Amino acid sequence: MIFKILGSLVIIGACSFVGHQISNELRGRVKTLEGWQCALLQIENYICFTKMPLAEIYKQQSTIKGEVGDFFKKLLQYDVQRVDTKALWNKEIEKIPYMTKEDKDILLMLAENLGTSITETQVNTIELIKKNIEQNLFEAKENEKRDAKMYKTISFFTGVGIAILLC
Amino acid sequence: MKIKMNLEPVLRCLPQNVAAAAAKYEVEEIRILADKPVIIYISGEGFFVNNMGDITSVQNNGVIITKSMLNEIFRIICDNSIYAVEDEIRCGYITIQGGHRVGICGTAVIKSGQISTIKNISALNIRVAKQAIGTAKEIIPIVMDKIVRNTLIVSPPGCGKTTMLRDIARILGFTYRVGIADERSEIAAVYQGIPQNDIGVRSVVMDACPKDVAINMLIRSMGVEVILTDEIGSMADVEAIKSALNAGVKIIASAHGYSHKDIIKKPYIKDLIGEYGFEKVITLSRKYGVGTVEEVVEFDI
Repeated sequence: MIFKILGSLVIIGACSFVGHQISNELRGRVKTLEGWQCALLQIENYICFTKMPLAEIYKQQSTIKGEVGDFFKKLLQYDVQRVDTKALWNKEIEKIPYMTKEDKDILLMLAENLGTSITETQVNTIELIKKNIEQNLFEAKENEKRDAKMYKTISFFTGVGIAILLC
Repeated sequence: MKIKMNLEPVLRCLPQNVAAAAAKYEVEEIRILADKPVIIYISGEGFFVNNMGDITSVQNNGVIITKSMLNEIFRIICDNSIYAVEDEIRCGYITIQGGHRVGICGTAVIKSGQISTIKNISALNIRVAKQAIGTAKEIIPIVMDKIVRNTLIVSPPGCGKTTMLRDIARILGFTYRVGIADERSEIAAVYQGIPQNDIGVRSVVMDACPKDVAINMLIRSMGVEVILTDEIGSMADVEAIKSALNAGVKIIASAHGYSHKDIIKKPYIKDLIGEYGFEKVITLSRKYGVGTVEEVVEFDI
């Protein structure tokens, strides 16, 4: 009997863990996109008001805590003044957790244009990227609100269901 | 005289074979034109670069730089940040680390009657910066006899006016609070806020700023004793120099011309010669090499 109880607890725990992981992913996407929203605003200010070169901007952004800061830290491992920005971002963007392909594509669109034109064009590009990120953030927040609790509950009850069936 | 030069920032922008050739010789200039062989100038003579990373005088053996390679070089020269150097691009050149100057040719984009940027880059001309330390040794006793004298250095282009000013700044910067109004980043060669040339421990630079504005800023905010500026000529320059002189600041400047006689005929500058203005006019030439002191004229004040 004791084995049955322990086994059931293990199954329920495992299923609940999966549910937690899925809801964490949803929360993580929201947090990461919020981080990018902040970073884009800062990058825009650095470009517009101080004309800070990209290498310096990366250095500043790498001090931010979280996924966004980590991304810029990784960029700084390369010779950012020499290596093509798009190629560099393309390589490292894949490693950002929680973000969807759509989110990453938006950032790659930024990478394609970052540093390649005069301030006015840079600002216009960043504004466009900010709008896209904002839309995705809205969608991510809706998903989190709608699905996070659901995944946790479903996974818990799935675990309970499996445990009952096996008993 | 000691020559100070840091070629590394130039080499990192170039394709491997061109960089290898440039590193072997005392290069003065590197001319890169789209779809043409790259030419490097050594002691005034142009050579092509072969695939082995050496120089050749045979054009057919010269390495061709394609349009995409040229764009790549331009991207690296701009440190992947065109917006950061857009003001320089508008002026037709970029100063890179080490004080080297890259001239740019292409199609100008005009907006509201002014150059907004240069697109379709078709040629780059890299002028390797060398600081000749000790060039001003001969004229320092003229510029500074007991006190610093308001001095105008006159010469045609290419006779070493800027080199001379740079060395004067370095020497005076040991004792005086020197301010450099460096409109075209030629004296101090500032790169990201750091002067790439040795301009003395007490020298400050107002970089890429119109001379008249820079002079007034230096007087007001930096408490300078001596101001150095290059290629004066406009009415605004002369007015700014007058206000510096009124404030008791000494001026050492340069201007295009062949002699003091030539200078006193020039509009605006002539107002600064003699009374209340420049006490000495030094004329340079290339007679015995760049920076030969041709004539020194003193004006009684």
